[in-house]
Parts: sequence; structure tokens; C-alpha cells
Amino acid sequence: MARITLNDVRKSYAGNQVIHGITTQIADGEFVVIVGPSGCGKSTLLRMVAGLEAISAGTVEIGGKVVNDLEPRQRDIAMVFQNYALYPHMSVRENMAYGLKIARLPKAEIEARVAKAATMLELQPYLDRKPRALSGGQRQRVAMGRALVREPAALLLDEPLSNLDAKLRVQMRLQIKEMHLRTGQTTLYVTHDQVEAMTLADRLIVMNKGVAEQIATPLEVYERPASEFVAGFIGSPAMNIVPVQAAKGHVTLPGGVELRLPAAPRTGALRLGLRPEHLRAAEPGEPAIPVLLRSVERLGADAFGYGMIEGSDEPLVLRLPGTSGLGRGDRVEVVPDPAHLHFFDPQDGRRIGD
Amino acid sequence: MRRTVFPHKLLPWLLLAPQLAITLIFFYWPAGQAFRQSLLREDAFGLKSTFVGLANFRKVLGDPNYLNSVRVTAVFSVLVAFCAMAIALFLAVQAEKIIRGRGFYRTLMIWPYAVAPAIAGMLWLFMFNPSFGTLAWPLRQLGLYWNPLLDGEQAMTLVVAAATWKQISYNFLFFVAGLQAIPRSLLEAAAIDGASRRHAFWTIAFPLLAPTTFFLLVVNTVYALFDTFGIIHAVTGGGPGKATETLVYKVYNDGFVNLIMGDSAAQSVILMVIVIALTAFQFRFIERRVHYG
Repeated sequence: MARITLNDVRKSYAGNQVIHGITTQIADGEFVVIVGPSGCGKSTLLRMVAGLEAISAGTVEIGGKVVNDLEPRQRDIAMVFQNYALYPHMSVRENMAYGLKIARLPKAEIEARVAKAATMLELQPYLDRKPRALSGGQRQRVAMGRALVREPAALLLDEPLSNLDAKLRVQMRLQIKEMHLRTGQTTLYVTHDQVEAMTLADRLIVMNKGVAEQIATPLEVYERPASEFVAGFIGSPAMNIVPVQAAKGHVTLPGGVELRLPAAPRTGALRLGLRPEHLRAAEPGEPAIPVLLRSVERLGADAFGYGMIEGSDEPLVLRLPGTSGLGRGDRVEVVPDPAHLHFFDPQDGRRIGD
Repeated sequence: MRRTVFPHKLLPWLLLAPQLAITLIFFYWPAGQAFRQSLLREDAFGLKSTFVGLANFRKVLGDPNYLNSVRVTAVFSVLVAFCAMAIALFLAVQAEKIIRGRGFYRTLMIWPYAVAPAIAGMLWLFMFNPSFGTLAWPLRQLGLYWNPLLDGEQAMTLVVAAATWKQISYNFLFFVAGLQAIPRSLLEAAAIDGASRRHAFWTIAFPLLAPTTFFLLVVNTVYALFDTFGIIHAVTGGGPGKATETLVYKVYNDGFVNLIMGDSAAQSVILMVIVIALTAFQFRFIERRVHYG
């Protein structure tokens, strides 16, 4: 158990900076998820904490000790790899015991720890099998078990569920969450999947192009995204971003619709973020956004309408009731919920106002 | 596996014919000749031969020179196969660590394989000949009485070194390829699990290299038994005395130098049996422990 402190951590390859100074603290027992699109540097950041990549500048502390110059084995961490990295020539038992044997733990202790992890992960029947005789989900659990038996100060997971099919992924996600509640392990988890990020994290680090765009709780990230990038990345379907002209007391949307929105933080060109779930059908006579639907996706409980603001080619996604009879070519009028408006600066994409 | 059915009965045989012809002419026919000759005894002028049954085999196996040759071959083969593989593996592991100029080093390492055995032998001879060898003089300055023309053990060391040197390239190539096939994440996982580099090599990389190592063991054994003739011929000629006369070299000596065809043929047949037995043994008992990933 330990906390992890990142202090202006940077990474460059041959003078080319790919991670631009990340600072945060991960509390003892906290579950932090680093989320971002592929190539944003999230795995690199994790590998720097693990000691698999050199840290170009800044410091990483684990348990109050700067570990920049320590080998991975001196950092008291365990890691689960995306491809699991199980030793193919060893049985499940040997895989899990490998690190413990190196640590010269007594034999009985190794046995006990492996048995405990195997029970928790329901791997008891497979202990003597080789990894290649296991299914993807079982391999993933062995990888988890191998990390957990070492009882490390911090647990690092690099996209551990991305090689599983959708159903298994949901199941393993719940299992990981449960395991964290049980062990209270300080955990750093990398994923590109926003659902995993939202459901698992105590706190999110949303990364884009080597920059931490926002570090906050999942709810905060959803409710007050710090930038247009975060707004578009977290939430499904993604938030609508519409260019608007703000004047005192109202904004003008593409297509010439004027909405009375007293909340606009400043006048001039702005970008307005509207989540599909925060657009409701207009009452008769109410000033509203007219939308021409191009297609409707029905998911059962909900349906999502994809259309354009009338008089422009600005796309807009709406959440409709699952029973909605609307379809292609229909015209709907919607009103944004004034409590859930997001304004972004058109130049740097940062959030403006509250 | 997919089976292709040819509409014509003759076509498959025609397609196989070139390979079969080569195998028949260059392998089965000489092997058959050797077998036939091993049962005959020729007179001194090669004019007529008589059938003698297994007498040639009895004579060869009772010959202390032949038994010496078996011992020499065993020592030579084990040393060459072990040294060539161990050194190649060491070099391959070192070459993996290089970041800049890796391709350059690898190319350099592979060159010796292109050198013909006899030329490699001459090279070593020029370096280590006691009277004109470039490196013989420094060796003597170091207080070593260096004379492989008189000292059997030194002669053996010299041919083992030359044969090893030549085979290292080949083994190196395969070990480099084998090491590259090991996923990096396995070694990273081992590093995180607390393994030192050395420990990770012996517990992860080396076991995963087993298929390569096994393949090379077979190839190197056959190499040491057969393909080293040129080196021995150029460096020591089997001497001094018979200290470096391997089985293959003795076959040549008895057959083409001493012209005792019957003995030579009998030795060829025995050698063939030894190689077949050895290879079968390797596949039967060692391959079982090999993990194909």
C-alpha cells in the first residue's frame, strides 16, 4: 500500500517530447484511471511509473520514495499487461509463484498466497495447466493473480480488458472493481474505453497528445469537462459541440435560430456543448432548435436520433425515448436543459465560465 | 491438412522426379555402393574383389586405431557443438543489447559462414602454425610451448577452435532470430516480477529458445561429424600421430590415401548408422522436453 506522486513527469524521444509534464497525486488505496485515445501517451506514462521507460524529466514517487533511477523490481509494483505476458512454458501455478520464488518467500507462504488468489479468481481447477490451454478470460485472471499474489505497493494495469470480447469485458470489469474494494490496492489503470474509465475510477486522468486535459472524479469530468476534447471523449454518444454567436442574453445557432440563454459567459464566437441526453422535446410555441433527422438508432430503452440543425449542416445527436416513432426525414424541435450547458473557447478549446 | 488430388496418375511422379533423381544418384546410389563394398575385399591392384561377408566390419571394429578415432570424434564433436552454440548464444544475447549499429554488428557476425571450410582452416593455420604463424610467436612469448605439430592436445584445440569459429555465425543467426521471437513483454513482466536480467534469461528466454537450441544441436552434431573434414584436412591432416583423426577423416585416409576400400566402406556404413542413431535419439529423448510456444 502506498501513494504515488507524479511531479511534472515528462518523456521525450530524441528531443521530441511526447508527454508534457504531468503532475498528480494518487492517494493510498485510490483507483485512478488514465484514459485517452490511442497514441495519447497513457501507456507510456504507466510504463514510466513501472520503470519500463526512462523518465526524461520530473519525478515519480512511490510510497514517498523517488523511484526515477530504480529498476522495476526495486519499485514494489506489479503490472498486468495488455497481452497478459504469461510465461508460456510455465503452468498457471508457476506463473503466479514466479515473483514470490524470486523474493525467496518460504514455500508454505507461496503455496498459501497462490491458493488464496486462485480461489478469489476461480482458477483452482486450472493451476496445473499451461497458459495456451486457457481461454482469454482465464488468461486475464491468471495475469491478475500473478500481480496480486505479490501484494505490491501499487498495481498497474495496461488495457487489461481490451483483448476480451464484450460480454467478458463487462464481467471482468465488475470483478476488478470488486477486487479493488476487497484489497484496497493503490491502482493505476490505463484504458481507451470510456465506460471502463467511468465505472472503475475513483479519479480520472483524461489524456490527449501527452497532456493531462483533466484530472477529476468521473462525475466531475462528465458534468464539467475542462475542455472540448474531454467533453467529446467522455459520454456516449459524444457531446454535441455547436459553434454559436453569443450576445447579451441570447445565443445564435447555425441556421439562424436564436435561443435565450442567460448563462453565456461572454459575448462573441463560442462553442456550445450540449449532451444528447440534455436535449428535451420543445413545448408548443417555445423557442427551440429545429432538427431534421437523418437516421435513428434504436437500442431498446433509448433511441438516438442523428440529424442536422435545420438550415445548416451542423450535426446534432438527440436522445429519444425508446418508443419514439420518429424516423428519417422527420423534423423535431428540442430545447437544451439550461443547467447542463458547456461553453468552450473556440481558440484553445478550454472550458469558459462555470 | 489439405489434400490435393491430381487428375493424372503420372503427374505427381513427374513433379517429384527431379528431387528423387538427385536423392537417388547422390545419396542412395553411393550409400548402396558403400554398403556393397563394405562386404568385399579388393586385391592390392584393384583388379578383382572377393566377397568376405562381415570380415571388414570385424577388422575395423577390432582395430585400436579405429577406436581411437571414435574417441577423437566424440571429444571433437562434443566440444565443437557445445562451444559453437554457447559462444553464439552469448554473442546473440550481447547483440540484442546493442541499440545503435545493431545491423552492422550482425552482418559482421554472419560473415565467417561464407568462408569455405578449407580456407577457414588455412586461415587458422597461418595464424597458429608454430614456425610462421602470426599468433604462434606471441603465444610462445607468453610462456606457452605452442607446437600443434607435435602436441596432440594443442592440435585438437586448434581444430576445435577453427571448426567452432566457422559454425558460430550460423548458430548466431538462429539464436538472434529466436531471441527476437520472444515477446518483449515477457521479459518486462519478469523484470517487474523481480527477476534480474540474468535470472530472467535463464528462466524465461532460455527455455523459450529450446526449439532453436534443439534444432541447432542436431545441425551442429551433424556438422561436427561430417562437415569439418576440410578444416581438419587443412590444419592438421589428422595428426600429429592420429590425435585429430575423426571418423570421417579416417574414412578418407583409409579409402583414398591407403586405398583399403573395404575398410573404408565398412567405416562409412558404421558412421551412417551412428548418425542415424544419434539423430533418432535426439528427436526421441530431447525433443520431448522442448516447449514449442
